[in-house]
Amino acid sequence: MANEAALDFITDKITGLEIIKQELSRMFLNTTDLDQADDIRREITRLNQLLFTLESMRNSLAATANEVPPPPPQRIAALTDALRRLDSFVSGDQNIQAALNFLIQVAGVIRTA
Amino acid sequence: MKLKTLTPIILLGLSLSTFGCAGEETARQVALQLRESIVEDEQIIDKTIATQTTFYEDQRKTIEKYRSENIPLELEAQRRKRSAEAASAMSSNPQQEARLSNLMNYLQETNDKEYELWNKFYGGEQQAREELKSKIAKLQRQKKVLTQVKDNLNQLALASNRKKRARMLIQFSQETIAALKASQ
Repeated sequence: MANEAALDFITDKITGLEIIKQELSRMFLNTTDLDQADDIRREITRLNQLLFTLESMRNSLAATANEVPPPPPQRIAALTDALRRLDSFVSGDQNIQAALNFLIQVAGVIRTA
Repeated sequence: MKLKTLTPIILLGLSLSTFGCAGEETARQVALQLRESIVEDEQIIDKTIATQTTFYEDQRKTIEKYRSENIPLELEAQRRKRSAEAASAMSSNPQQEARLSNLMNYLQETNDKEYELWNKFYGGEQQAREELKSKIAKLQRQKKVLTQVKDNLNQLALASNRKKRARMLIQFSQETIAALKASQ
């Protein structure tokens, strides 16, 4: 398939961000702190906008006849590293603020990868 | 429309207007060649329509998915902001602000604001959906024009001794191609 490498790269980014969004949504439902809920809601909204952009990119890429070069190895390595960090995240038993910071940080790395 | 399709149309017109019966036979031959080019073009357009339709459908679903997820969050953020503002005003001056009439006004205004936001968000969604629909419709129109041209050429290639009809069909084909180019 044409542009397979670029499509896989975007799909991996989307998968990682979807996992983060799922965790944030769970935290949002469980928190009783209104200020914290505001922060989490803001992050989920931001993630939704980012996911929308990435999914639109994926739709365009799948429809184009033009060849798009595969992402450079550094970017693939950065994304793989961020996804590995995300895999190590265990939800539920941490301090909620620490978990929030961690997820926001990993989302930032995935976004820029 | 490719240049190789347009050139035979011009040749076809010249053959019919310049020569007699021999010219008519030449015109029929050119029409046959031209038909092949049109069929090729049609296949390209068919492929483009299929790809673009899939893209527009996927994109419509993507838009709907994220809008439906973000709209409740944005509404809730607005609600939270307004209630925080009202709570601050009431707690800073409880004697003046914490009255039933103020509270009722606040609830009424909040309700109106939310209604406005719903209208805004869903109005945008409707517009996005219609834009995508019109893009697909445009591709379908292009395909229809091409099919018409092909039908004309079919008739022209098969009909012998019908010079007038041939001229008319060529003129019609040229006009439809010009209209198609203008619409792109």
